[in-house]
Amino acid sequence: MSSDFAKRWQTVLARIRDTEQRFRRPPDSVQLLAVSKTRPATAIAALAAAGQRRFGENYLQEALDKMAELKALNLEWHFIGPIQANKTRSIAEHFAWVHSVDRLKIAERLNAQRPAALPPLNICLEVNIDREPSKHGLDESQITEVAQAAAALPRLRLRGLMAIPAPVSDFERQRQPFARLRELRDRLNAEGLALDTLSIGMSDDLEAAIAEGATLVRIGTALFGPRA
Amino acid sequence: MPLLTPLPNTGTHSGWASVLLLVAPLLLGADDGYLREIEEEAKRQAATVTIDQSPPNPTAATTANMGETTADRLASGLNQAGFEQALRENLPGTYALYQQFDATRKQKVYAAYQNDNRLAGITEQVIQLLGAKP
Repeated sequence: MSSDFAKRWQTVLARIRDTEQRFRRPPDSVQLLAVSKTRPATAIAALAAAGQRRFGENYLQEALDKMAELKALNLEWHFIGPIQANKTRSIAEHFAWVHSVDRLKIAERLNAQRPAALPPLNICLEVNIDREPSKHGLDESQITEVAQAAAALPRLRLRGLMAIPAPVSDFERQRQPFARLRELRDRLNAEGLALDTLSIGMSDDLEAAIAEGATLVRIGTALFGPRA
Repeated sequence: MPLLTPLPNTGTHSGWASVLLLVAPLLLGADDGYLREIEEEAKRQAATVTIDQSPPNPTAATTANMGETTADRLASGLNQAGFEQALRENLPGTYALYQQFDATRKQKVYAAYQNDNRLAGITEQVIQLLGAKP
């Protein structure tokens, strides 16, 4: 079983490195975040044994259970799911990154609740890039105001933007929302911010995301196999 | 405009010196304008460089030093050493997996390339030989 995890991990890394080369991205400029929601701790441990360090979780209680079980492995945990305001304390206390900050109120709570003993919490603002009613995320028109405010919070480190575009299969169409997000990031940087992260791209649109500047790709099925 | 006006012919060096003293402030002013132009040109060049750094179109992502390699295919007809070099340059991730193989599996990849030089086909072949289940 461990061998299968190692091979899948190597295969995904090869896909990332090949795509970096194809689009003239610097080697190792794209990091792999293993999306481990609903996966058992044993599967995470197997992937960690292969060499994976960053894991992304969507559901807080499930994540806390796995963190406790895998504490000895010293993994880096990223929260990537929707955030309820009454869950921010636990998130602020246990995660290294939060990708799904979709309103200023959440950023302010995370800032207030981040323990002083821990380094500032890395956050990304989630953008509803295709303006889908069913999805969380800030509208593009809100981003500047929220980003400037979040960047001023001392216990947070605003790292970049995250988005999950509407699924399409055509490569060029996949690139379009990612390109818009990259332009948005560039605009914010031109206004004085220092965002270094684009958390975009999953198993089906990984290449398009890397083509448009992804720095963190979130991969689940290709690493863990299909869900039972 | 005044600098383009012919200078008066005074017939003496001291006359020229006087004229130079008279136009010196104009020349200094011209220097400021010239410097501003240089600065603006530099900004335009910087903007051009920034634009050039944007990710290229995939159809343009060919390898300059591989004559027949295209965005989606390796050059055909390479010997095994040439194939490995092209693989390393175009598919560094796939090449890292290929490097783990023994001579038999490397030969299988090379044979597959001879039948199908698509980048995707070569990667697929390497992954298949690696034995990773999707």
